[in-house]
Amino acid sequence: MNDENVLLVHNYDHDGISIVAAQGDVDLSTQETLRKALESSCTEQNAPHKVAVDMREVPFIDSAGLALLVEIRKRFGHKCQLALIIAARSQPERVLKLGRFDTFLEVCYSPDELSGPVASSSAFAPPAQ
Amino acid sequence: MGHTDERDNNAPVELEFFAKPDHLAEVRKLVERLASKTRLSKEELEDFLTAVDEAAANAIRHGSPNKERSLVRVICHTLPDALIVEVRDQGQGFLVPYSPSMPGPEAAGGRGLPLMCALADTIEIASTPKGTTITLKKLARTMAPASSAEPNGQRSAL
Repeated sequence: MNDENVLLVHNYDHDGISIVAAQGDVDLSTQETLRKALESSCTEQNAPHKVAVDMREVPFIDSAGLALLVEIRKRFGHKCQLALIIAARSQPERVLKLGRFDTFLEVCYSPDELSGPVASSSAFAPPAQ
Repeated sequence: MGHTDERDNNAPVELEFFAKPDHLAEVRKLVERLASKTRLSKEELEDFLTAVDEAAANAIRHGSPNKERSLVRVICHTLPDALIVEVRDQGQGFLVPYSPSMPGPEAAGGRGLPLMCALADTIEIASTPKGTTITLKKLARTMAPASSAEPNGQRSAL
């Protein structure tokens, strides 16, 4: 049986917000694919901007995926505000809430719910030390 | 990758593989297939898959002294109202925390064990310098009888 685990990533723009959309499971083996896409989106502009990760077609994410989100925020948070779009009642929603990611990242259920291209300057994380 | 016959409904199903992250998806797919023989709900299954994945990922990352040449074994026991999965590695063991708590949201890591504890109904960890076995169990809440048959009667301290 072919149990290949492939994560597909594509980019789109929604009302001036750069969105990285993932399809597939985000785990220890596939998180590198998402990492590269996020690094690219977070560095494509010099001006402060928002990057949202659309995970509505991500049926599964594990702690390696969560660690990636933390890493991206720490590395690029001084100029790039990270937000998450998730499916309601999904595994990613439950795992993100267990990790309390909804307390420090904008989390919503559709691109229309995102708060806008760039929120206040206080929304940006301090530069990584 | 080694795989035992699933056609005998009562026999444990084993999966043995080299410690590469690529195999995590196969572990999840195996558990998902076996869960169809139980009364676990979709949400219960998804939660349990997360716990099992974390145990297998820990075995790969921390329990493989020979890196990708180390072996990880996953043994699944199917009961009508429960699924029990053992994950065995060949690592040097670790000191098991009494009550692992979820780190803060900005922590770089350390979420594996807390997620296992939160998403499995019971967890047993036996860790020695010759390897670690994590046994996870998930009960089907919708049909939980007063007493369910268990392959062993041990309850976890976690």
